[in-house]
Amino acid sequence: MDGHLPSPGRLTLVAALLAAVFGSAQTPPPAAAPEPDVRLVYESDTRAYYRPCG
Amino acid sequence: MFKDLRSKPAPVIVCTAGDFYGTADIFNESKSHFVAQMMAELGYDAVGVGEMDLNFGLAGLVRDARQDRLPVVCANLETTVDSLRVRPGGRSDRANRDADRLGTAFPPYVIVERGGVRFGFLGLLSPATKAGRVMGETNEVKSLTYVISDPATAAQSLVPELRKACDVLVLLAHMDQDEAAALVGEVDGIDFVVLGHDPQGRPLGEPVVVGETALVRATYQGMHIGELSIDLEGKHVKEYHNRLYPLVASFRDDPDMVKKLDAFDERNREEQKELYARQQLRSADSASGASRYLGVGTCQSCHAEAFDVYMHTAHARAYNTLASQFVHRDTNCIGCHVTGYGDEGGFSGVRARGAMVDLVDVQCEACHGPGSEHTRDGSYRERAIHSCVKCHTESDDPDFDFDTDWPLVAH
Repeated sequence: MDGHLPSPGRLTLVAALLAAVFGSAQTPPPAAAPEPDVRLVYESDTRAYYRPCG
Repeated sequence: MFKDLRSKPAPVIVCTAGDFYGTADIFNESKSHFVAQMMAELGYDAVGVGEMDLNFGLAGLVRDARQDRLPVVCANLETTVDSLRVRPGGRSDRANRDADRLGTAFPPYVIVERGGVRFGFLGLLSPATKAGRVMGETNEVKSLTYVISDPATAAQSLVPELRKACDVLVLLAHMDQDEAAALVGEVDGIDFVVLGHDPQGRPLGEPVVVGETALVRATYQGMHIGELSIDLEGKHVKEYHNRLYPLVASFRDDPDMVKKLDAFDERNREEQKELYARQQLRSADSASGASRYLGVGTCQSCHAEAFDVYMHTAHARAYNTLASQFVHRDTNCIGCHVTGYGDEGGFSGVRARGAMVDLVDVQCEACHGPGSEHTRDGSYRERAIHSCVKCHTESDDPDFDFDTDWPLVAH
C-alpha cells in the first residue's frame, strides 16, 4: 500500500501547483474600499409604508 | 443602518426627496405624523417635499416641521398664509430671507456643514405630481392654502447665489427624471440631484449623468436607501460612488426603533378601531340600498365551478393575510385584499350584522368589476385579464408573471 501513496514532497508540489492555478486558500481578502470624504445617504419616496402588507 | 454608517470615520449627511406621508385618508394621518417624528429622531439633515406630504394639508406638514424640527426645504411651495410660513430660528438667516422674498412656506434650502465643507440642499416639487388632493375626515376636498410655482424659475432665481454660499449643491427634486434632467440642463451648478416621485418605483442602480450633474434615485416605499460616497478635491466633488441598500426583511432592525414602532402600532390600533367604527356608521347612513357589488355568493349561484376554483386560491384568503398581521385596517394594504375598495358600493368594512353583502377577500368582482355591470357578451369575462396588474405591480409583486400565475386561479 505504501508504494501507492504520494510522497510528502510530491504532495507539496501538487499543493503548490493547485495554488498557482486556483489561488491559495490563504489569499488575503481584497482590501476594503478606502473611506470616502463624505457619505451622502438619500431616500426617495419613503412614504408611511413602514411595514409590508403581508 | 444609519448607526452603522455613522460609526464609520467619514461624516454622514442624510436627506430625502420627499413623500414620507401616506395616502390621503384618515387612517394614514397618525402614521404619517409618526413617520415624520421618527425621521427627526433619525437625524435627517434635509427633507424635500413630495405631493404625498401635502395629503393632510400644508398645515399638517408645517405642524410636523415645527414640532419635530424637521429641516423641510422647498423653493416653489408658496403660501400667502402667514401662520403657515416656517422660518427656523438660528439655522440660516439667508435661507429665511430667500423664503420671504419668494413667499414660500418653508426655507427653499438648507446648508449643512460637514468636515469644513458646506453642502447646500435645495428642494423643488413639480406641479405635474398632481399635488393638491387634500382629504379631510369626510373626504371633502379642502381649499388649498398653497400654490406650487414653476420649479425651473425658482431654481434659476436661487442657484447662482446659493452656489456661491456652498461647496457642493444637491437638488432634492420631487419630479420625474425627465423633468429633472431638463431642469439641470437649463440651470448650471448643481452637483447631484436626488430624485423622488417615480410611480413605477424604479431605483437607479447607476447615476444618470446630465452635463456635470449626477441624478440618483432610491425608492420605493422606503425599500432602498442610497449612499453616495463622495471624494473631494479641496472642497469640491472629485469623484463619487453610488450604492443602493435594499432594506430586505433580513436587514438587521435597530432594537430601539423596533420598540418605538411597536408602541406606536399598539396606540394606532386602538385609534384605528375607533375611526373604523365611525366610518362604518357613516357608510350605513349613506347606503343607497342598491349596491353595485353583489358579492361572491351571487356569482356562485350561476358559476359553481368557478366558485369552487376560487375557494382554493390565495385570493379567497387575501383578507386573512392582513388580519393575521394586524394590518387589516391599513388603507395602504386593504385595497388589494378586498373587493371594490374605494369604489361606490365596494368594500367599506367587514360586514355589519344584517348587511347583505360581504366584500372581504379578492372576490370575483375585484377582477371582473361590479356585478351590476355583468353582461353576457363575453366582455365581463375579458376585462378581468387586465386587472391583475392593478395589484400585482412591479414593486409589490416583482415576480408576477401572467403566464405562470394565471394557472393558479384559472377558471
